[in-house]
Amino acid sequence: MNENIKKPAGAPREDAILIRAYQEGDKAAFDQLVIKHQNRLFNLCYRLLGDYQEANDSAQETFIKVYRSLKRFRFESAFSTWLYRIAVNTCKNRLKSSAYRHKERMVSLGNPVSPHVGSPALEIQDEGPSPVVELEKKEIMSAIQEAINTLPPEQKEVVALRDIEGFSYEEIVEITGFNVGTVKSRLARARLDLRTKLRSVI
Amino acid sequence: MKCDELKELLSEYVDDVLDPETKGLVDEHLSSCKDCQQELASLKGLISELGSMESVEPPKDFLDQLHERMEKHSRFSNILRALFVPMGVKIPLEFAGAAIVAILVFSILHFQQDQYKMAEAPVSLKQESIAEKGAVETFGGTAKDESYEPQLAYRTPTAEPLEESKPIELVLVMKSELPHPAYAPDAPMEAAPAPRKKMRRSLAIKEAAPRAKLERDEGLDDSLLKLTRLIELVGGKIVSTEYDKESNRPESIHAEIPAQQLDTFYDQLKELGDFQSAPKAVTGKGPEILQVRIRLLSSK
Repeated sequence: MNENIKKPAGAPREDAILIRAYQEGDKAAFDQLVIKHQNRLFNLCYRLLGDYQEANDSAQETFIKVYRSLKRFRFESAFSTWLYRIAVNTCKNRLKSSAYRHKERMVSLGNPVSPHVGSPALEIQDEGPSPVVELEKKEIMSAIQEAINTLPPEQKEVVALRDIEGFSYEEIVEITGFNVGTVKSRLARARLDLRTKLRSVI
Repeated sequence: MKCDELKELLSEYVDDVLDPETKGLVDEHLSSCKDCQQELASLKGLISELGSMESVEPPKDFLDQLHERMEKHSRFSNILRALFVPMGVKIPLEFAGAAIVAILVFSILHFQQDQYKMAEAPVSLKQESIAEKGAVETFGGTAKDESYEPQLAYRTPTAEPLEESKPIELVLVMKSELPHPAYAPDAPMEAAPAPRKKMRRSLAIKEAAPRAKLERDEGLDDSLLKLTRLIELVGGKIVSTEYDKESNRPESIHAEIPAQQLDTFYDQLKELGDFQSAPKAVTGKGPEILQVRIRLLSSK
């Protein structure tokens, strides 16, 4: 298994403490929740949408939805599960909207990395390792993101949650609402798809 | 186990979620199959790449942006709560704004429909803006005469006719061109001697009849105008006007007339046209407001 898989942000208990504090009137507790989860959440949104601005809007929207219902949160699920469920749905809705049907989206102008897919940089070996490696990394990431962008929504969700954000199968089941069998098969398909698309790069 | 079968299971194998028996079979196959070993390596490589991508970080002011949105949101929701709580209605915020606009538009349009039955409504937009003007104007009325004072139509919110009395049916054969009636209401119309055509047009807008077709039955519409004024004069109210669908002539008017004024109303009606049959008199007792339906017939 990949050692770089990112761990869930903090223990669930910490979340519960913050939420209770908020429910009892401590407004700053909400801010702390945001700070705790914003990076991971933002990254997920970015991976699902492929666009920095859209990711920002979705992430913001997600936290607003949390803000509106946090007072009534009953701890029936873990906070992070609930949070990411909202994020995934928010991003899914955004993807469905007409703006996203345009193929231009795939070029992802908001991508912080230059969308330069291809091997030219890989061939320039004699300019010293560091810049090439850096450029390589960026190009690879860009290529991967573009490949992810072309996946069907359900496959995109599971591969982003599992291989990029490091959620467990159980957590993915809770977040997406798919049963385990569906998660397994979608993940397998997504990974196969990506391997095919990225054959030249990876 | 064949290579094809194994490839289907590789994903789960890598995540270690295969049942022990199947896992054993996979291990066995892998130990001797170079192709599948390569597949496995390739899969592991992909997962590794996916997992080691750099995080894309949110903007530095993410929390501040969020605070701004939260503030906008609570301002909006407070306004809506003030509006909707009395009604005991729960509306999600996103829809509430649209709901308010929809309710406003609907109530204006619906109000319009109650007052005037229209054969077609090509001028409904204009009517709407005049309706709004009318609704906002105060009771005293303004001296502005170009816009025909719509006090009449929008006096009370209850556009519904009273259910108790059966409408008095009248058939009036309208006289064609009449000299300017002496009883023309003062304030709105007399202030400036607007040419007849203009007045007719204002009425046309009010009645939402297409301008072009109006010119055809000038006499009738002129009488309609007078009838309208008469109704107003006796303190009555037009409930609806019906137009013939094809010719767009006004066919009948349904109005509410104060019982007290009925005699006066009849008298004045005689100035406008001839009754086909003698109008029904009304006894002292009975509802205060009477429903009257006047069918208009052209003398031509």
